[in-house]
Amino acid sequence: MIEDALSEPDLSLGPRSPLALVPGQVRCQLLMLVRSPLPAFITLVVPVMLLVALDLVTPEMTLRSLGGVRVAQFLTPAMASFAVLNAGFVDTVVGTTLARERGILKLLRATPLPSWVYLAGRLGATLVVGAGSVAVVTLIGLNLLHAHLAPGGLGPFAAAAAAGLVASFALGVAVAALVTSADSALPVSYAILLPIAFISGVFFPAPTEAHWLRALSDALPAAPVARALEAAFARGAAHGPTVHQLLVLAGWTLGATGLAAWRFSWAPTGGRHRRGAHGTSHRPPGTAPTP
Amino acid sequence: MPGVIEVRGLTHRYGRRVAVEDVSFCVARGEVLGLLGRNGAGKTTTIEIVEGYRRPTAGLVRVLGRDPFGGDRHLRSRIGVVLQSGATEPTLRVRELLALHAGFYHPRRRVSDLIAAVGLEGEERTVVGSLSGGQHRRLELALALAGDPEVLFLDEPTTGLDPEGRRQIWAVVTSLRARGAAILLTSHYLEEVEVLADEVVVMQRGKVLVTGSPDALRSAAPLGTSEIAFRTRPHVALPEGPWVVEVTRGGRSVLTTREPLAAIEQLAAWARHHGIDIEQLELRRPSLEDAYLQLTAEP
Ligand SMILES: Nc1ncnc2c1ncn2[C@@H]1O[C@H](COP(=O)(O)OP(=O)(O)OP(=O)(O)O)[C@@H](O)[C@H]1O
Ligand SMILES: [Mg+2]
Repeated sequence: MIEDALSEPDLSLGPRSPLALVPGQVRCQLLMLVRSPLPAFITLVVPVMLLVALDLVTPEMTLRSLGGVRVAQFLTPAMASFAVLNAGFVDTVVGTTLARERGILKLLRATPLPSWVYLAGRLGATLVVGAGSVAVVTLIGLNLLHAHLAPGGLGPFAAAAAAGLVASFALGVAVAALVTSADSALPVSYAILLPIAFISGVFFPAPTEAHWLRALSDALPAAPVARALEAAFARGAAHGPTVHQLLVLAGWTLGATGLAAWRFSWAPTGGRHRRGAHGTSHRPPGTAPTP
Repeated sequence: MPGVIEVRGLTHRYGRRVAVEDVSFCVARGEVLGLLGRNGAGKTTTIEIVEGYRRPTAGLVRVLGRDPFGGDRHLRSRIGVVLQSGATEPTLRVRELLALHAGFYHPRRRVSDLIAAVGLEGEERTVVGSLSGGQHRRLELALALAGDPEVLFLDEPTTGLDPEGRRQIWAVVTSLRARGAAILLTSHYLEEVEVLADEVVVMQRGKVLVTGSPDALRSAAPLGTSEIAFRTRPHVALPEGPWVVEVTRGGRSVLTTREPLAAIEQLAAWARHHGIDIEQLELRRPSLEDAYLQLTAEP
């Protein structure tokens, strides 16, 4: 009778390779993203609100610095890039830190799930959600704000968004390796993202920016994403991400991956990697080698 | 036969604080070892080192012949872990989470079997975050059973469970042991340890205080092995004998003794001689809990 308490395993269920586990991870990470209000707010609501609000406060205005284009024409790809940075970076920092603090990562660590499959699941879900959010922002820009997508621009636009999502995801994991508490994840990630987004011309094109500021922003990961999306949106087919932009993003991706591999902890703070409460948590990802 | 879990001279320090010192034990196939000790005695630290979460400061740890620290995928596919404060993704449904975890293993149990084993029938579609505390504990055990673990680690697995749920979990553990699993268990419920454990290690301030079977532990308690309880007229002075008088309240007396037979003979002779009635006479062994409390009592 006691033997009945637990059934035999079902041998008809075959083994799965790590690669075969990826779709299941992506699916579950997607369900989690869709079911929690914070990621939806960060990824979708914030860029859409900014798109509409920034367009409304600047009616009938054109941008001299961009050769007289309408504001919506600049804002649509700009907010698409902000959506990329939110979905890839902010969501990843917040979600990963929270999963660690709750002890979810610790429990997964005791299972045979390889860590790379977990991260691949997160990346896959980030790509889907990020693409959805970019699509919504772009469609609102095209249909409600009457922006115009150059012919043949869709391919390079999508390529630029994908490259941006991958790079900001890697940076998000790296920052999650440094942030010690889930409470500080959101403020820390915006404290890093917003200044970079400002100097990278994500919110306003900055006509008078200093030369050194421009050089700096070109080396940071936000500007390549924004410029590549703008170019594809405004000029179309032949204007995908440039080699320089892709190299900058690849450099950040590699550096961030290295930092994450070195410092990432699966246990909640207070566990194996107990650290000072304040020491490392506010360090920007500047510790990653720049290309 | 070498143990499935082998721990020799295990010492662990958190900074300068010594949490575990020179702990050794061994768990064989089909054996349950219970780790006992007060809060902070070092049980979780020990079990988490054996699970592979921490590298010990000193000592040797082997699980299925391997070093569990940084354990490879193969080793992790053969163990099951219930953490003291485990957590799962709160937004997934019970069935989704179990299916996800079961997919990591081969061989693996069917989700419906796991749900039945821990008594979560009817909660398949419940969002994990809205399970009750005891239901979540059951879910954590189900996750640990998703493969067919040869080694199971249970850190206070039945905390927060109702008595029925506790018995259900005991049946699952017993069944897994019968199948040959080696099980390392911590618990503050002595009754649970008595039912499940073949061997007990009592820890105190990081060190091993006693090791042995629950029976041996009872005998090791300083106050003896049996209790004699009875009722007499109030205010009767009991004679000296091979016992220690534990309580005398309202005519009810409890004696603790190592020689129950001699004690009862002496008691009976004394009662007959003085014409004193002895009612509700009971002879019982002290519970493991009594023995444990005596053993771990600190001045
Ligand atoms: N991450 C940590 N950092 C520093 N000290 C720790 C850490 N974890 C545990 N300790 C200390 O180590 C000692 C043993 O803790 P442990 O959690 O192993 O005890 P336990 O026997 O499991 O207790 P309980 O019955 O309360 O679960 C305690 O003094 C505790 O304060
Ligand atoms: Mg503990």
